[in-house]
Amino acid sequence: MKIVVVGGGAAGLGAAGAALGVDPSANMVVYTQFEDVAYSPCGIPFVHGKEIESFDRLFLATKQQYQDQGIDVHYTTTVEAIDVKRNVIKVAGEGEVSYDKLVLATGWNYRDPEGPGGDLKGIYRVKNIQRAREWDSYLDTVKSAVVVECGLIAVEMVTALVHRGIKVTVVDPGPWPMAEVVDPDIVDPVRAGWAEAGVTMMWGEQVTAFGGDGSLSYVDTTGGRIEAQLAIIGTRKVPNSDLARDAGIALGGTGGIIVDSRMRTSAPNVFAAGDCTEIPHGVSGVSLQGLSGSHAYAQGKTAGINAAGGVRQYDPVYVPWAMLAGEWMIGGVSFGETTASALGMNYVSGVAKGITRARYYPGVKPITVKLLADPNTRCLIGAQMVGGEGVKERADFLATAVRAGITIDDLATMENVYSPAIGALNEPVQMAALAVQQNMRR
Amino acid sequence: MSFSRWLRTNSQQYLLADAQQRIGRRNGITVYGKPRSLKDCFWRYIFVPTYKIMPDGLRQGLIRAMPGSHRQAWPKQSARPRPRHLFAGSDRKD
Repeated sequence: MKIVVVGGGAAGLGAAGAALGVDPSANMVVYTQFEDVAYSPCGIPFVHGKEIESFDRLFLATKQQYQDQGIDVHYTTTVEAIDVKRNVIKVAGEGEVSYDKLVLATGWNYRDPEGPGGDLKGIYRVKNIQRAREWDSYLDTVKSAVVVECGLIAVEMVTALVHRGIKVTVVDPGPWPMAEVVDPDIVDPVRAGWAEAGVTMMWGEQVTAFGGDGSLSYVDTTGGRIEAQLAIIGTRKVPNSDLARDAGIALGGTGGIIVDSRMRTSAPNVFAAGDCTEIPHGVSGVSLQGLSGSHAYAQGKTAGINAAGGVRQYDPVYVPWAMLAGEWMIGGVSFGETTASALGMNYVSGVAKGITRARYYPGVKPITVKLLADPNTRCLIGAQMVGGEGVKERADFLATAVRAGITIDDLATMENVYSPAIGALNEPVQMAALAVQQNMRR
Repeated sequence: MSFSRWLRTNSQQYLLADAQQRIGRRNGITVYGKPRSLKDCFWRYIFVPTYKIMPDGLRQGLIRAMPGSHRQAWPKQSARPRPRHLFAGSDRKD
């Protein structure tokens, strides 16, 4: 069986490896338009910020290792078209290539910020590791930078640029950082930390043009002109699904490829995974696009197993997430108040401020937990957190709680670890659940 | 851009903006943003209020009617609330 994968990110390589696990005799070919496969683009800001010493550390495996696994990767090769009726793809420089099963893992792009001057030198879209190597030395020459909208990678880039001694201005049409996913009370410590670090923030403003003579020297915004030699594009992720659309494969309202739980598309023998697809949310049923690398990898494995003749189902998502933002960790699960409110969901929330270790233990950090529950079923439907540590583990736990239909009463009576160096007597999740119970009685 | 993508993009943007205004106000943040165009006026003053007064069932029905992965075959959500454990509860009878 010949399985062709288009895309060499987490979903594409996850699909290739999992397919070979089911059928080791499969002829496995991966096409990528880039020079490398399977690295962590989310790690790029940390190399720029000097927390990680080298871009080489971001690779999951060497090119030789993929070859040894039996994965034939065609680098810097563009797939131009798919003929789903004849089971062939058209590859630049190779002509027509047939497949028995095809997996699309074409990933995402930044939404175009739509202003004149977008092609000037000095406008950086953090994604490709080879370009990141080139940009890293350019950063040494930059005195002032503008971050255009606060996507997740852009938030990490703010910290990286501050670490490099670059003056940063954030321009975002939202009213606070990451306003599409985070509530204002949760992200407020991050905003305050940025202000303390000298970051200029322009909320509710938009970039209207990039200007300069060949290279960027200023950015025009609805709030005025900013002198800058660098612009970081942090607009939201949009699916790279043009190849699928042109082949007549059905797309959803997000622009992502429509898939079922086995990652099958509307075309026979064609699967899709990762950021080019859309996946339904477990609570609301609304399809979502632009999830995390761990989602892409798990979807890729599902697509690969099914493409190779195995059976695996992928579940609707509850989206645990967490990240470092300045000196803080922020994260959550499913809904915050802003997103739940936007959808028109009925919820009751509760907030608790706690600590991550015993109050006397060195390194103890504050943590704030907000929980949202459905007042009819009393089930947990979402959470948001900000703290000095322990956010990721709580987000993973709470996502499982939402998925399992755990109620706020279960959480209010939960058992918890007390150990001075790693956990406080009162667990902040339990305290937040008690606050939700109290608010439900009102 | 397809109709469904156009509808999703705009409805998401304006419903979020409306929610940000309300949640922001509750947290002491004044969210500015006067309508800049006729399009802004339509989505803010006609679509958003209409969406908000719709009965929940109708709203969910309309969301489900839009093309997307949510209309494909997916594992069902576990029971809400989850069934009580066999050994839990005061009404247990041995």
